[in-house]
Amino acid sequence: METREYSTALAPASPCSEATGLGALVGLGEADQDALIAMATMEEAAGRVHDALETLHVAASLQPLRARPWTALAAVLRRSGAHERAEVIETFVQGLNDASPN
Amino acid sequence: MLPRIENTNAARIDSAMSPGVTLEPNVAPESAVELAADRPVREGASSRAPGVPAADAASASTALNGAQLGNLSMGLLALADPMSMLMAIASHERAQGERVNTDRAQDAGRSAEAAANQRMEAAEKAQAAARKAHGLLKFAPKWVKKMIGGIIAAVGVVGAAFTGGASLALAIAAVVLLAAGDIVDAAVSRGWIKPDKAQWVSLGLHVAGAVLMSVSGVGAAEGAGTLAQVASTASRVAKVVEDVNEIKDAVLEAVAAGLEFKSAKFQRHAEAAGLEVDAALQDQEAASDSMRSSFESYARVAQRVQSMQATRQQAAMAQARSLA
Repeated sequence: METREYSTALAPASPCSEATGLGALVGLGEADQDALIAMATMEEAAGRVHDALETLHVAASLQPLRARPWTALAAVLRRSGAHERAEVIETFVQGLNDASPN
Repeated sequence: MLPRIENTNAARIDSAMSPGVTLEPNVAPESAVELAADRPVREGASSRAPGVPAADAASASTALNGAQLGNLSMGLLALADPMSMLMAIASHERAQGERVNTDRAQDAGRSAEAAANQRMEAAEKAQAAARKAHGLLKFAPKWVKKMIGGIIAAVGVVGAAFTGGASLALAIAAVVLLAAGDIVDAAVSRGWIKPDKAQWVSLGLHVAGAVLMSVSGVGAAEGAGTLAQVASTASRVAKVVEDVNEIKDAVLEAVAAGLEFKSAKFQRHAEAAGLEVDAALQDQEAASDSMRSSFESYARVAQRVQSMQATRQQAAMAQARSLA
């Protein structure tokens, strides 16, 4: 089993982690989603905010019921001034977290 | 490689959620990934999101490893290219083993009782999905819940109406692909839905597809032997939910058309893939653009992942040389 590293600087992992979404089509899981989030963090830090948003959107589509990419997406949106969109996603994430059995 | 779409619609560009926005040109591979630790964030720059903690970026940099990036880029490229995606689905289906039989073969041997049981099972799964979606969308506006309820019910109806064994999986795959498409943004740019609603539509579609996969216990690829069938299912989904007033029917219809476009692309390679694809290419330019834009988004991200991988390999080699 391959050991993969996770960034501790990112949003906390969501307990809602079912492999449901496009990622299931091609064998991409949580670790891959986390890698994309990490890459988006680097892209944003490098000033490529549009790239970061696109990367996060792709990350979220791989496993939409996991809160982590949505949380990261909302954070980038908020930092880039898109507060309304960020708020919608944050509300959505709240629903994901509340629905979690944990 | 599909041609790049230039988007001049302001609302579309504004839609940061969309994978189809016109982005900055891709940078050269050697400079595509700039490690945040090497480049301080310039606060307040217009093209940059201020406030990214440098530690976060540095941590993100160290969190990635080469093997993972390779796997990731391969997966994303599979999603970015219709032919690769088709092959991934075919491979997945072969791996499933018990699902190799075609719908036609299953129809021939199916008893009326078994068909009735399947209809009931499809309805139960749809109900479970609806309950789960409502839980996940508890803070969403009512119209979002209504829209998602309509879509899930439509999938249940489709699953019950089909006699093929893979029908429910196909219906689910259709919704998952709807969520991944760029149709919401396209709908905003055409004035079908208001920009302030687009975010929720997108999120709702993601939830609908995911919960349907979850409660059914199937991967999207399982049973999805042909994308043409998925496209057909999407069309049915669009027709069934046309009484959902809060969202324009055109959105889902265009999504379905987009899937038909994609299936037509697949059809060109169907023989090579050993699959039956029976779909007619329809003249749905808007939906085609939407699907193309979605593919391109996956391709761009995959390209950036590959660039990161190459940069890291070069850095590792340079470090090794210096140590030697």
